[in-house]
Amino acid sequence: MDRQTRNYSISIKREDDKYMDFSLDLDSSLTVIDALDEIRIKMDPTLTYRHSCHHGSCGTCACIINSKERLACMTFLNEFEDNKITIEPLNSFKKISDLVVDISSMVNNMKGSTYLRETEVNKDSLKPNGIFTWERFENCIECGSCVSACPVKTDFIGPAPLASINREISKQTDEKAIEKLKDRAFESDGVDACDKHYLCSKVCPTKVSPGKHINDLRKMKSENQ
Amino acid sequence: MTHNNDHVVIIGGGGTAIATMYDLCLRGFKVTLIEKGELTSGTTGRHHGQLHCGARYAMGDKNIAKECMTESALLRKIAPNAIEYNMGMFVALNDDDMQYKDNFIQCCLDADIPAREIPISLAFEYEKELNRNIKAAVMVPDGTIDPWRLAISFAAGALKTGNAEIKTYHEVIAINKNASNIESVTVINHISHKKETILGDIFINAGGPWAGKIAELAGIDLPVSPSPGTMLAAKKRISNMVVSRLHEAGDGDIVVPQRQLTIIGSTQWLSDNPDINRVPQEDIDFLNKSAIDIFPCFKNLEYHTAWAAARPLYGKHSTSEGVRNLSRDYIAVDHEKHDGVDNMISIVGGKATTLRAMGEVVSDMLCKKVGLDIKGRTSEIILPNYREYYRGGRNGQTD
Ligand SMILES: Cc1cc2nc3c(=O)[nH]c(=O)nc-3n(C[C@H](O)[C@H](O)[C@H](O)COP(=O)(O)OP(=O)(O)OC[C@H]3O[C@@H](n4cnc5c(N)ncnc54)[C@H](O)[C@@H]3O)c2cc1C
Ligand code: SF4
Ligand code: FES
Repeated sequence: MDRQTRNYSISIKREDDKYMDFSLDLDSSLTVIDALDEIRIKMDPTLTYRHSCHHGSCGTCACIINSKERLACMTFLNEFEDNKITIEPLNSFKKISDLVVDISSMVNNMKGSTYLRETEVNKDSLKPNGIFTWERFENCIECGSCVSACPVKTDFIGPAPLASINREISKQTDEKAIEKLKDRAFESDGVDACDKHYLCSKVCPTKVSPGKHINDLRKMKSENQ
Repeated sequence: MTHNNDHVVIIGGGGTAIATMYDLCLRGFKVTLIEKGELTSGTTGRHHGQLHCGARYAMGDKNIAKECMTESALLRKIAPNAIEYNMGMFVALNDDDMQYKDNFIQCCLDADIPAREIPISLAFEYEKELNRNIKAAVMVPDGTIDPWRLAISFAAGALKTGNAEIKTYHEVIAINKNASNIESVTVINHISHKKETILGDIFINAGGPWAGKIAELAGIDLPVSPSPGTMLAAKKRISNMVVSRLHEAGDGDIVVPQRQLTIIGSTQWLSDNPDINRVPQEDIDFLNKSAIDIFPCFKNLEYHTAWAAARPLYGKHSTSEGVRNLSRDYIAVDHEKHDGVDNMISIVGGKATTLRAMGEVVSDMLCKKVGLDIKGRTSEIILPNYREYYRGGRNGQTD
């Protein structure tokens, strides 16, 4: 991988929507989250942003990087050939400060009795005593990128919550619970509010394809009628 | 239940601090947690993700191994949504590894870890991509943690009691004493950019690798060695179980599958600074090679990323070798006894897997200190789903 020290110009949208510019030398193999850490630790301790895992698993670090929703920890500096990076908080969420937005509005609409699903690896193998299915966490890391990218401005619970409803329907065995989930998806701020732009699927960092889940729900709705 | 009016201030917002907050809230204390960034933005969020059943420590320290066994089983019960439980396998790759086998199994059994050798053919049935030259395989009850979701499940539990106040983006910059008693801490609120004073009756330093720096603010010399290590992730999941090398615990010997990734770790170097922002290329090359030794197909996988985090080891040593030999156990220090500061306790070291136990040990120490006999209840209660952390809005922040 390309590893050189280069000078980066990083512009960050902060309080009162003002942009603040930082110029610093960084190893090009680092990521945008490393750059934000470097700015906070060495230049401006007041810079606020969310981060935790630094490897694309927790979902806290999503922001808008050069106009596109991305995970800051999975965006490598060496992809920016002109060494210029603009970082803005996600759209559609209430801003708390700098790059920190309140994603509670999205998470509170997420469904799921369990965050686990079956893995794709070695499905049909024998399993040790006590293991019935090989399990892994769901793809959706609740980063909010899809909600931010979605151009729909009317009342809409958003792509990730709808994807979670469809995932839960596929896991549920209880008919009543399934009906309830469908009812939620078919409310006016559910599937019908989606305008089929599908930017959600484009920006999703973990390939949830929320657009596909929304289409599944749409199909269920037309079958129900 | 005995009610008490003590207000506890916890400095730090990693797994240790959050589990301590939860435990104390259940015991009826009012707790304010102060974290300079987002919760788990220190070491906790970045760890390797292994739910340690203790087998890794069985040959080195039976007590740590035993505690990991108890705690990993408990976490599976109280936080099922934050754990992938597919068990773990230790594999011997060569004759050197084989020499440890019998002792390893015995040490596991002595620590109540149900380790069991399985035929190699069965090992390949469970994990098809394993190196075909393995000489032995031992099953243990390891698993994978989602570090963020485990920690915020505890935070959700704390918020649910109504006793917790969570101040993220607040950095402690001074600890204010009157003689031997701490009266308050000064924080900078990075959201409002204002200085604030937070009063408290008892203060807990749960600053992980920063705990030494925090203790210094109270004039206390607390020996903490930030000991960073690198992890490397590839873009595809190739196993279900955590697979470790069967030999003395060392570098690059654990492969942890997680979600759609395969993560190999780790390394260890010495640093006085817990804020590390470099990933040595030699570590990446070494980890890559180590992963290929266990899973040859790792060499065909696409690079995902590499990152580092600092272990909060208790003790001081000037050489890497010395630091490597520092215990992986945790310690709770009552600074009244050791440093003449009446109302502060530090908790350092341990594992993400032992966060609950660490919270319980500090809370027990605190209760004893203030003469209250209240039992911890964190082992009995199933934690709320991690999403409950967001219930009240503002990403769980309470101010
Ligand atoms: C490379 C590596 C791999 C690991 N792998 C595993 C594993 O697989 N399984 C496992 O169980 N454990 C693992 N661990 C161990 C585990 O990650 C740590 O023991 C644990 O996360 C420590 O948690 P903590 O809360 O004590 O510290 P931290 O998570 O570091 O929390 C301390 C917090 O204090 C905050 N803070 C510091 N100064 C201030 C201040 N002045 N004001 C306010 N807040 C402040 C920091 O921002 C930080 O969030 C690993 C560790 C490393 C380094
Ligand atoms: S669906 Fe994808 S983009 Fe949307 S919140 Fe989940 S992970 Fe993020
Ligand atoms: S910090 Fe966890 S996804 Fe980026």
